[in-house]
Amino acid sequence: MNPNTIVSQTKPLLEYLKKRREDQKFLKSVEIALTFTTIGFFLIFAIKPTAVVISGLIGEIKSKQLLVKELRNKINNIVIAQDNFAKVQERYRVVESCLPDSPHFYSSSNQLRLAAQESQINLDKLGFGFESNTDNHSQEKPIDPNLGYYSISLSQNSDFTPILNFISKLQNSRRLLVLNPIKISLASSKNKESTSSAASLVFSLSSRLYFWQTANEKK
Amino acid sequence: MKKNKLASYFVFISIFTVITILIYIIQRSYDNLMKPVNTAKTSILSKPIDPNLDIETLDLIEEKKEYLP
Repeated sequence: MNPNTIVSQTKPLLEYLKKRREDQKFLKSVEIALTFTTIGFFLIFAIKPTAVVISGLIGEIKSKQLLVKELRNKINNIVIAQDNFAKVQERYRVVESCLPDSPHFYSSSNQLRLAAQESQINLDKLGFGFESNTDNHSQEKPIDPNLGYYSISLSQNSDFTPILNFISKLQNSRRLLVLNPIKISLASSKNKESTSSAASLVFSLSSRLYFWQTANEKK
Repeated sequence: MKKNKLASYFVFISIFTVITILIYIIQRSYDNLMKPVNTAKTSILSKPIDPNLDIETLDLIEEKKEYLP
């Protein structure tokens, strides 16, 4: 048998086998690609909603557990705070005298009058002014946004030592106040003549007096 | 040969898509898990209360003079 004849007879067979193998490989690849596409489809439409809902529920449970723990701590702290408050309840009056529930205009003016009297200054004029905590014109930062305040201003002739005494008395008084601008200047001769005393200085000050606002009590 | 190359591209794209979907699902699930916990942590209810009273300030106030009307 001629070898060329054998090659010419087996060549189409080998080519057929090769093509068949390639087809099989292609089919396998398509099968794998389709399998992954199906997995992706199920992941989107079946696994994703389930996973999202389950994780959401677990998150809710965890947050509730956290809140329960925090609230238990809070309740314990409130009980401790109640006990502590009961121990110092009789001293609440001290807090009230420092930071009253209402403006207490009379007591604040009285405080200034008595402090002035003790410093041998005769106060004959006091000005009350109201500002809002949320007032944009107010350049100063409020101590606490829950606190209400009003200002008292005065201007008086006196000597230097009584003025210093008066300011130190105000600073050592129990009522919470902030002394804002204190101006001391020489009294003009016209002023001196008009006042009976020989006071050489004119001083003016403005102070802010704080109190708890009713809105704060409701909380 | 060209057919085979195309098939391998399909396989690669499908695997890549599955991995992307998996990562997206994990990310969404984690976000869903942590969102309520973070909300609970930052909520006003979880703000701690200090039960200790500032007695020193009370003493300090008491030392100051009270002008009674």
